[in-house]
Amino acid sequence: MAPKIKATSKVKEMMTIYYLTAKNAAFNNRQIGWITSGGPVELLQAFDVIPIYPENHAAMVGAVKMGGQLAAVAEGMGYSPDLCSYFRIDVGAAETNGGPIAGLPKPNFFVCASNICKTVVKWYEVQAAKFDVPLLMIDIPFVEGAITGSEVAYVAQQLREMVPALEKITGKKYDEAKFMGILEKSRDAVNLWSQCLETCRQSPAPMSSFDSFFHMAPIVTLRGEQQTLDYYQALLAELTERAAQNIAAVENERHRLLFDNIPMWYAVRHMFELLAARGTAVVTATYTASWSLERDMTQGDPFEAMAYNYLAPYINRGFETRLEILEGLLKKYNCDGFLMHSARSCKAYSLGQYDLRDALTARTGKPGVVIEGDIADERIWSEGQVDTRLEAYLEGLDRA
Amino acid sequence: MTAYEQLAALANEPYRKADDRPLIAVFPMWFPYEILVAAGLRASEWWAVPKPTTLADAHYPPFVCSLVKCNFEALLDGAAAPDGMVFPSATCDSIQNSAGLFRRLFPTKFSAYFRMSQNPESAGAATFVRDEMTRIVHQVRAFFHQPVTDADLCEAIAAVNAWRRAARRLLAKLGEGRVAAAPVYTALKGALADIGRPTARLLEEYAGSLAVAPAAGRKVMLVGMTPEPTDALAVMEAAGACVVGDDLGLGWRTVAVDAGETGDPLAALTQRLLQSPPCSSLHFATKRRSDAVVARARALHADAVVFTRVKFCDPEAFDYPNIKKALDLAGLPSLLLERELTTAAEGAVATRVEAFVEQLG
Repeated sequence: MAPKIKATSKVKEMMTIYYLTAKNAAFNNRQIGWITSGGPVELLQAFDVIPIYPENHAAMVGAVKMGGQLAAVAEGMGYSPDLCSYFRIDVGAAETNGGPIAGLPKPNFFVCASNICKTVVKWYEVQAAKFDVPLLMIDIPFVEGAITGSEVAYVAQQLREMVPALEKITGKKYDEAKFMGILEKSRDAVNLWSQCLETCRQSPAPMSSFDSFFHMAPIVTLRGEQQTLDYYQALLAELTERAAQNIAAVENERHRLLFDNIPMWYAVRHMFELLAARGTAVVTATYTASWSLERDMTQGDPFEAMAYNYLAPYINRGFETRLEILEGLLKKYNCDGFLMHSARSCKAYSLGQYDLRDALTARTGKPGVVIEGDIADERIWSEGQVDTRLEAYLEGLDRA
Repeated sequence: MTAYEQLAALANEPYRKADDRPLIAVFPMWFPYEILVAAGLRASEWWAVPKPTTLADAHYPPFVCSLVKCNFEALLDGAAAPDGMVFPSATCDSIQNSAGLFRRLFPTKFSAYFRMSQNPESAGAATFVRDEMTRIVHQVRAFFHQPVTDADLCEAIAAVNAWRRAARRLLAKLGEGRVAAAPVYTALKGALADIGRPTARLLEEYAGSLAVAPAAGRKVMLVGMTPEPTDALAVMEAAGACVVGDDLGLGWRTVAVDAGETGDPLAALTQRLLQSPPCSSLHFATKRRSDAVVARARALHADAVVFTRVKFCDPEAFDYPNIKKALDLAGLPSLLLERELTTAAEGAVATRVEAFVEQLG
């Protein structure tokens, strides 16, 4: 077995402190804002609000295999089992204070950005009504081709409107210098995270994407904070050192794969072990590469740069752009093939994967496989079926 | 053929071409059809013709609704050959992502996506929605070499408003007494297959010809996207209830609001969309769908509500518990029917409908 990444214990500690701080927010006179993973967290931080990510929490619930239990609570309330399991887990956790951290701290308000799916628009409507607190909506249009000025202007306008809304909710004045400082840290953290991911271009890769799914937690939840910069600096140093010493995430790495979609959190370890046993490393993923820095938010109009960056993520892009991104990642990380998770919960990510698989193989000659599952509801998962499918796929890679 | 027969034929074959107008299929449901009409195109909103989806299943995962898959099946099996398609991306993730599939599979056809604002109270929403319409006008002009002038748009607005008025008149018949609901919705579905003056006339004629029996039995309002499969409505009526109206996509929500007929036409179309009634596919900070459904049930003097939900329709599935709660508080009993478009009312569905109507007394 390859030695574990030491920074893993640090990320666990950071997330524990983060949730403890959030749970005690009221004692420290701080407000809580629940925000989608594609939301402009930097603005919340500028108002000293603690951002809480129900998606991150639902992933954590899924990882400890409590997803089915909490989702069932929501189903009992009338929510269809066909709806996103992150949503159902969030409803169930809010109703019962269930899950590994006994529910999330109560929100003072919600911020919803629609750049990850339409689901979050409905999800946040439901939860804002339940908690009877304000919902700040940022409509981020789906981008079929290139990002246009009309889209940027529309999103930037909504981001600007958040400033007086947050002043009203928090009772605090907007401090531009503080905001710009947060944007700088956010930019630097995303840069460092990208560098961490890029260490996996080396063969053997010093980290698997199944590791990076966990190491991405701070870039989602604590972007814009100094501790996040410190963390990714340390992780980058460790990965660089591992790469220099040829310490591999997967011993005897023979095959390198790309992973598409949100992982099946309850089976990440199983997937890693199944693949690693066959000398296969997942070295890049569309999900971990979702934080874009196409525009430097500290240059020019920060709201326009933010708008551009929040329009840009993979999941907010049309078929042809997704295909280009996938092709780019396959080449950049020298992959032999790709693994697509058709996640029942996530139509926004999953719809189109069959055609993407065929088109990507036609363009690159690299074979792909689609496996069916769910992101956090372990009741959907059929391990035997998935294993059989993956084994057949890996045998094909061996023969290639 | 009677007006109803002509509309029913359109409902059963929305893709049949009857004249030389290019046919543009529009996925439900928030789109300014007036732009297509102004360009001399046939605006055809497709609520799907139920059929097995063997070809579409190769492109869609199993958890996508049958409305989306049936529309694609018709394209793939050759039953439908529209000259183009429009995808209103606000409706749901499935329709949004289908735009890319269509372009991939039919690269030479016209295709456009339209993004209705999900934050209509934002100061930038009107500008953005107007920009979207302007983009589509340019796309239509470029692809079909059709000039789309303001005068064309004004005439199209008047035509589509007349079409909506006719549709409202037809739907209002349901509230006047006992009228079989399934043919009414079939007629509306047919009219949606060719939005404009010709089907407005058919709707008027059909509404005028409808025999309304004296009101009797419990009054039911339908809530959802589509009333289909409508066989459950016949079961409901046979059990003694009658449908008095709806909060449906293929129904009231689509025809409730007209566009202004004076001033800048694109501004008028923008305002029409921004003033839409609450819908599962739209977000309004100041309007709750549950309140709107209760208010509409009250206005229709409904005794009960039946939710007609297509399986895997996320927007309606999200809204259901809060609407049900509001109905419970208002003392209005409700029944949820979740079905695939492609399945007939089996015994279990019929029994549930009958039992529900019996409970209403």
